[in-house]
Amino acid sequence: MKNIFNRRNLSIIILLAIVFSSRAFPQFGSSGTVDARSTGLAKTYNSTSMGIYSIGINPANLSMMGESSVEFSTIIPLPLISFHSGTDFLSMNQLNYYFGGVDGKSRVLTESDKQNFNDLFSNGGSVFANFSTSLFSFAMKPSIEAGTFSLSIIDFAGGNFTIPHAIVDLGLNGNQPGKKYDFNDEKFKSWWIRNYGISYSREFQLESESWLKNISAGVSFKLVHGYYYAGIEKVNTNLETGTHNEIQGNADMIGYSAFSDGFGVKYDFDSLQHQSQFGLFMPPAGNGFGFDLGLSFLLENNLNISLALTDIGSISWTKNIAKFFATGAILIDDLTNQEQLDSLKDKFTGDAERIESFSTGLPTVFRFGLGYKLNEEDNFLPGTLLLGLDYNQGFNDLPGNSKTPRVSFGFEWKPGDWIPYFRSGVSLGGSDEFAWAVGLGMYTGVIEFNFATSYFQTIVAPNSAKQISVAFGSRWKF
Amino acid sequence: MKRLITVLRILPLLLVLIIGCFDLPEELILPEWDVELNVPLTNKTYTLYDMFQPESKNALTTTLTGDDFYLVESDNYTANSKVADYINLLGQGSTSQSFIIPANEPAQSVFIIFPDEIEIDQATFVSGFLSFAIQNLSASAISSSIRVPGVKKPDGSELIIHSNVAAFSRDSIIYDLSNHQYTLPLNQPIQNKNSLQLVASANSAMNGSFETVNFYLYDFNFSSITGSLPRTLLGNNRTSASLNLGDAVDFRGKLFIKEGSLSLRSEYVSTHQNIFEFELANFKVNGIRNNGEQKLLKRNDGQALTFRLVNGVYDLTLNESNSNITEFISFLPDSIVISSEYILNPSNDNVIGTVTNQDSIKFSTQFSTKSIFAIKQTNFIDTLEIDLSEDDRDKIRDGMGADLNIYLENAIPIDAFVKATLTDENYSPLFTLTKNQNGVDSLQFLGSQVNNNTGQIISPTITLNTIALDSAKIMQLSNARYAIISTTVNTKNATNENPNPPTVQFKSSDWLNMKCYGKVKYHLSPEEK
Repeated sequence: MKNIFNRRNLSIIILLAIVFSSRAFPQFGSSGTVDARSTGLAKTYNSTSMGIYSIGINPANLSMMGESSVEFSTIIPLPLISFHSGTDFLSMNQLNYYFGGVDGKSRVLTESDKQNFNDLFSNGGSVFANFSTSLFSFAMKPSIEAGTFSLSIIDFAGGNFTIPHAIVDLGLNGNQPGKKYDFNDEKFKSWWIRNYGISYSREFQLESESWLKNISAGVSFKLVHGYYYAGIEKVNTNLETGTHNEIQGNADMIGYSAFSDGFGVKYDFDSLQHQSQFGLFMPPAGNGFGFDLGLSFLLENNLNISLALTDIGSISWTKNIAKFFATGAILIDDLTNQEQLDSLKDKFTGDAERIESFSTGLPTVFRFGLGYKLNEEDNFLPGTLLLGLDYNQGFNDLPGNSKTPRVSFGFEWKPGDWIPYFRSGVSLGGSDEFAWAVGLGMYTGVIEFNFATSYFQTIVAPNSAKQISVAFGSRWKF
Repeated sequence: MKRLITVLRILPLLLVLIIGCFDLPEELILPEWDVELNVPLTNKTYTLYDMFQPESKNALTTTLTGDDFYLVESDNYTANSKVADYINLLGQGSTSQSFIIPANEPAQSVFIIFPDEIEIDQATFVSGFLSFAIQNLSASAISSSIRVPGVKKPDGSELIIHSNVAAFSRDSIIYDLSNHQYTLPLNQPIQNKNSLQLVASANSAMNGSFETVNFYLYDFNFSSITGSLPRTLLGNNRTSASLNLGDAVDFRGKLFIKEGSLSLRSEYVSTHQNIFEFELANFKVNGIRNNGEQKLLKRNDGQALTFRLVNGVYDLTLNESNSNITEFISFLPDSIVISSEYILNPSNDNVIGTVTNQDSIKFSTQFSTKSIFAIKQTNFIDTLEIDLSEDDRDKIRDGMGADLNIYLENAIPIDAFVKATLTDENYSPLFTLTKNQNGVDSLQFLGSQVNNNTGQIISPTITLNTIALDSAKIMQLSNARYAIISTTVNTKNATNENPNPPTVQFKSSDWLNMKCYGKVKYHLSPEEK
């Protein structure tokens, strides 16, 4: 095997990665965007992602690089982009119906239309967008005994916003006396963070007669830079219309924001002007540390069991910080009372103040997966077949993560040597709800190309789909 | 590798085809819909104190008493009345006396006693005459002079009357004392203080000659006089004051007052210190309306009002127990006329005092009533301009319907009936805001429950009036330029059919809470969002 681990080659690889800002394959949270291969498996990745694809998912699998001793990803030959956006309530058909107009004029909603539109939000009004990339990922496995090392620079930008149902209900039907309107379901979190990670994995091969063939363990350490954060930490605002139409309730909202100097953000309370110097390597607004832990067990009959706990840590935000808050009782019983109107406005817009710092967690996830590989001789289908079953449990609702558990099943089938990998799977739960993923993979020896969507409904029934997902990229393997 | 390149070429094409399958709207157009908003328009609580704003009233002022009652008071009306244009001590009568002046003899003093033996220290004549009828019974002419040492002419010189009467002849002299001053001569004996002193002397060519003089005093009127004067009637005087009732005239015939009082201060005004005792007899306060109707303030016992000023002042208070004051105040006259007979020194004692025709009686009158009364149904009509911009009117036109609720919790014992008619710019009625659909019944706001015996409030009354506006009326509302508000009020149970309506008590803390709220059905179009 040709020795490619010389300083010159490594320097070139790193330089290329940085200069071309390649979009590679981060894994983020329980529901965030992942590399194209894992996307095609409906994010069933715990026991099926190997090598650098396992960074951020299960560092134990980093050492499972097959016959390769080096893997890396760059913009060449195909930048790896992973994007997923959509809603959980509005399909394209519905968008057309309600906002497409009729003969170029506004659609006049009937009572039935209003009810249907209102019902769309009854189980959530979430809008989200996740975009992830890696500036650089590199893994090297000098030998089994030495273990596998990796370096990675992974970016994630994303956000989610849940429109409170009460807002829609109020807008459509007005305020109904005696009905309490809670805005507690309003959610908003958005950020852009970057992980500078270093990982190590070691596999331990056991006796060939044992049912347990192999144990791998891995760990990743991450320096986390945050470029912006904006989020609502708590909303406990509600309104109720009383017997005499008096509107009363309570405002209780806290939110935080932080921005890198490069954004040039100026708050109302800030007397200084800031010059915007937006770029890829801006000074961070927050810093933190995190780590991943992973274990993987290879059993006889090619059954793989993986466990991981990822993104344990936090970020401390210290630059251009503001705290937004609104508290107090709300009472409007006299529209001619300007003081009441001003108070209501204050309660909803809130106040902002400068604070020294605040912290957020990382999208910590517990991951568990089963993988089973059927060789050609064992397979009832021609070629090889990889089956995977995942369970991902997020511990917070940060962008890309969800406290709602997500279960997924995926398979990767390669019918023959010259036929691309065909991947598919379904995912339930998490922030994506039901998703049917499909992907393709083509290997050319040292380069592999992957294409996928985690929301195949968009392709087969584009006008009834609520989300769109695209992921593609390439990986070098030596 | 060739297959890979082929696939890589096909994939973007596939992506474009997929995107082409999306039926993306050409333009996002916000829909329109009707929405019902339940809005609180106003919630205000007013106390009687807020509504009356005692500081701002002119004709009728209101103040708070210690027991938190409203005391409705009139202004302090004042009127001055001269005690007399002049002081006539002698009436139309005269006094006379005869005496002899011997010739060529030393001058002799003669004392003419004033009527009723009044003692004058000092006086200024408005008018008065001295009349001398002189007869010379001698055979020689006589020239005589009669000095009046107490009387100074306007030029300050002493009054001296000269005469020359031929033998066996007569002469007559009448002297006008207008603007003359009288001062009791210093050397006049104290016992002759009640007399006018004359000093007479005569000269003749023949000794033993003399004259006889018949002397008359008459028509003595003084502008000021100091001395010991008898009880004197100075005549009947009359003065009036306008009350300036303003809007209060609307309550004529509708107001029934339970308690009231008149405070009258009569004050003798003079630049002198030693004023006489003064009596106002047959004192009358008469209320007069502009249409000539009158109401006399009377004592319940039927006796005339007569009183004397003590140290120049007398305070008279009449209330509902000793007079018809409540009836008088309820009469709400436009002006009051005070008349009385003035009597100087009514005790007819010998006290020395001064009285002048510049002296006056100042009357200060104030009516007050506690806030315990009844008002029969009284109607007010007012026209208000509806000042809305065209933009506002356009927004109103987007309204599909509205229900306006007026919730009144009333702890003031007044019933009110309100009818608002909206008109166009020519005052042509568009529609009437009423509590029912046929546009007939007025909005009714009932007063608090009261104890009919004491008039005290038992509990507030809640009234809810709902006005429903359909889209046609909302369209008319958008065109309304004026609102003619007809308001009828009465105190609790004081209907026109009730001849003796029960009075109710009002306190400054009495209150009403009005909540206006409504439902508006509104058509939201993209321009509104």
